Amino acid sequence: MPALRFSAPAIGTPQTIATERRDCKIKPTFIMADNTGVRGTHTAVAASATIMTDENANFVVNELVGFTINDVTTGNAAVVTANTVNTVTVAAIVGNFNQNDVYSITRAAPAAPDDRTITLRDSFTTDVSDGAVAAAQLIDKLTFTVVITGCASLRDELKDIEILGDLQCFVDSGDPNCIITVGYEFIQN
Amino acid sequence: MIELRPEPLAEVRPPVPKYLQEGYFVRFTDKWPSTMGHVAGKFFQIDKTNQVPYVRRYILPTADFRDVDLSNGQGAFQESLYPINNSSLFEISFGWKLGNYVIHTYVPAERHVSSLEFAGMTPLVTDVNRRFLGARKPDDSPYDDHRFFVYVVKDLEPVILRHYVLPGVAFEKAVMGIFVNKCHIVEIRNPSDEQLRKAKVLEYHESIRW
Repeated sequence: MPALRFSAPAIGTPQTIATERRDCKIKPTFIMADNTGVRGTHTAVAASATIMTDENANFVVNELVGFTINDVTTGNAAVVTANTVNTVTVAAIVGNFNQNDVYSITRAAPAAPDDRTITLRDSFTTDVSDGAVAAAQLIDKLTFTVVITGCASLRDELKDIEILGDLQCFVDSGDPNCIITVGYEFIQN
Repeated sequence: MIELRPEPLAEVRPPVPKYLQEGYFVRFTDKWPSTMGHVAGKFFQIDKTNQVPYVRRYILPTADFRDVDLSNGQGAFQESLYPINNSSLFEISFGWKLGNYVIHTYVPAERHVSSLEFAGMTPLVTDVNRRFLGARKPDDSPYDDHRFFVYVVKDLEPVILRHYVLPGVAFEKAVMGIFVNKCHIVEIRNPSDEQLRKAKVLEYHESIRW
């Protein structure tokens, strides 16, 4: 059974999981969304505008330089200038890193809050019929939200879905931290 | 000739070929019109065959239909499956994948092959009852076990397969498997009784409308 793994694509650029096979329909068999990314909490008691400390982290020294650290709790972000095994340094972040603030680290600042709304769509063009001309169609088949730091795995919910054209995945915001995997099969009967 | 072969009640061993083969005989009845004088009332032997599989699909909105015209041409609905040589006979079989649709057969256009005799008992897809009169479901001729056969020669009137999407789904994808058994036929002017007995008789479509 084929499957495709990808990070949440930007709005307006859907991920095509399977293109139409003209001799059959497509059935999505499972979808998994991992929205945990690189995440943790600021464990130091003291607030800091420049250093985030996570005593549970195990970074490689300076591997995060140039990445963006997002304080999910306050909604602010800053570029990483250095890191140790369990600290991340930035020039300054608005609102400070406060104890128990949730952070995520991404390659780029996310464009929207970290909860991700994922939609499976059927994309096809109808044929000319007696009553209608050919027309492109985008039909939403399933929409669900995977919360920040959460994972979702759907299988039973997909069993009655049939895709006539291309199987596509839309997400409400591009997010390299949200990893999506979709399995599918071609319906032979 | 249009033929819907019933599901067999028993298996035959050794199996009988489903399609016309080299060496087989075919006889066109006298009912074929003079416009198809190259076959009307004549007797042929098949000397060569060539099998050509094909697939077409139509995505259609609910309660709507598409007329699939098997004849040749550039029209939007024409599939150009007919022969253009006098010495060709195409045995074409069709099978459909399961879906929420039915198929009506017309030959020529607007003349349904499955009308009954009482006035008004003609299939009509816009009528809630008569859309099922004479309608063939996909499982009557499954994609992997074709049972619907059409025999076409040059200049035959258009055979129309009307694919109608039943209400209840927004869109449906009708997948039609096609298998064209191209037969090159050679006329035998004086067939023997044995040859006549073995021949497959090909009736003109008007013969099913008495």
